[in-house]
Amino acid sequence: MTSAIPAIEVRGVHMTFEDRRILAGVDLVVRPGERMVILGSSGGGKSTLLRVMLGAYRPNAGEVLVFGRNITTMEEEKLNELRRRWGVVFQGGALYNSMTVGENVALPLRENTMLDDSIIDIMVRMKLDLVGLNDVEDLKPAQLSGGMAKRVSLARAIALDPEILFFDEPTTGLDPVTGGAIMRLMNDLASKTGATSVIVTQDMRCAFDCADRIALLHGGRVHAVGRPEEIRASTDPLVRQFINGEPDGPIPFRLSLDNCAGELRAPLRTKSGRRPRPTASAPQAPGRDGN
Amino acid sequence: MIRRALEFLGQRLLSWLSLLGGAWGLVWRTGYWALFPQSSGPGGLRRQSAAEQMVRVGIRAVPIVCLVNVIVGMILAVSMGGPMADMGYITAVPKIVAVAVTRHFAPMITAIIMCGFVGAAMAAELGTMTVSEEVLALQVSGLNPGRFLVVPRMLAVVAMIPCLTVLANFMGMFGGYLVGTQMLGIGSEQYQVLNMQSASAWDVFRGSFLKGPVFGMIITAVACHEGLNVKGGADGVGRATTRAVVFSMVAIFVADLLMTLLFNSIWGK
Repeated sequence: MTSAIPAIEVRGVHMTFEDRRILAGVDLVVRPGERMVILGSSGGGKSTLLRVMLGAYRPNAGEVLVFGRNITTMEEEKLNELRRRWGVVFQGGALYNSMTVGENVALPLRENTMLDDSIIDIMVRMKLDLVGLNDVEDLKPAQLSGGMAKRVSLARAIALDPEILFFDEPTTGLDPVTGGAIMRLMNDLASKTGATSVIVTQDMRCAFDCADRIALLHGGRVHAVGRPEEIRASTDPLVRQFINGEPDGPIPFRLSLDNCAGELRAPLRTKSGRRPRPTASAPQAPGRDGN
Repeated sequence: MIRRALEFLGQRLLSWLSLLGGAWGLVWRTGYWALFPQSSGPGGLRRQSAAEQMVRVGIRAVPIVCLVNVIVGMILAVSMGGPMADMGYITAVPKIVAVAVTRHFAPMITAIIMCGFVGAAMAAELGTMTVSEEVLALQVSGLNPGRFLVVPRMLAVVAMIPCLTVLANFMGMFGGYLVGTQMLGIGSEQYQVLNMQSASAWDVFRGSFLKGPVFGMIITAVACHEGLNVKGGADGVGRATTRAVVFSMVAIFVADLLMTLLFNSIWGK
């Protein structure tokens, strides 16, 4: 909590997808034990930034330090060792559909420890209990509601007692009550375990309820950082527009390829319908098949 | 117009070369992970997952492999029966069926069935996992998706294809036997004797245990490479599945030709 080394430090990260700039020099420091919420409009590049922090994308320029170690130049095997010190909760849960809930939560324990099966079973029940779920071990992910899938994903993320928890849109697509329950779980886990949390969201309620600090990402850069009350009291027009949800302001009402590239999931196409040739600067997602 | 056609051909060629390189790299890495499972984490070889894949790949493919190979044997006997009867060599049919089935048709037809039965399913399954961020979840959790997803599949297919090919040999010859005895008037005992004179255990071994595993590696590597590199949503999965099946089939034909030439140069005809 009082360590001088930041849990995560993002230094001048640039990211380009097929000639389209998504991140344009992001600088951000997440302190140990802190709950950092990354807010951003559509196309702000917050999901890309999350993936860069997870080492899934290697940036075109800049570096990301986790526990003081530069992950942008790290070999995949060393990065995998570091990855065991964090847990990730994805927007859709990203549960392994071929496995039961119990197997999903047990997976990090089976793959990363030499624990006996009976111990793993007990730990799985404990982790599920921590997120408020009982007797769901034998269910398949397809049988779960959105809120339950998020909780299982959270239980899987905390299986190895991680030092950092990443949340990608934790309350998106959930009803207010379920979203509130997920937020309470996030806060409880952070305070009980002392883990650092990085929460990427567009949900203002989630941001103000969960954050120690908020970073507003816009145009590929961190536009504003501060404690929730500082963000709330900000007079910056862009921050005001964002937290008040106003359609008119510095964030344009009309979207085009120039201002929403970060939200485009598929490779971009030109007007003629032909996919532009990938550039040397196009990011790679290394390690999918292990390379 | 010509420029566009050349651009199109060039892009296709580059894309196929990229797939070939990616699949080839995956074969090597899978071999390494299978031999040194602790190299990418303490999880080790996922034996249970490999066993589950063997059931999916091997046991469930038995009926379709049997059915198609019986039909192929029958087609061979029917198509050879007429010309051979005209030349007065009707007794050559069992020999032709035996040689054609054991040397070429059983391994190749089995591999092609597996392309559709297993390769397409693998590409679609892994593609869906990629699209739904399951693969990303594995990757950012420090679990190597290659070791976790590809090794069990590769082991299962490489182990099961030879078994299925042995079965396919018998089914192909049985198909020829049915036509030979029921339509071409060759006696049952005579057919079996003639068949056994030409069908050698060495041919069955070469087709099943030398060609089979190579075909299995091709099918799995191409399907897994395509599945793990899906871009886009459902349409991306569809494209990856199609590419996996088409490329695997072409690669199997090429590999069969090369292996046949190699075997002939080593062991003669």
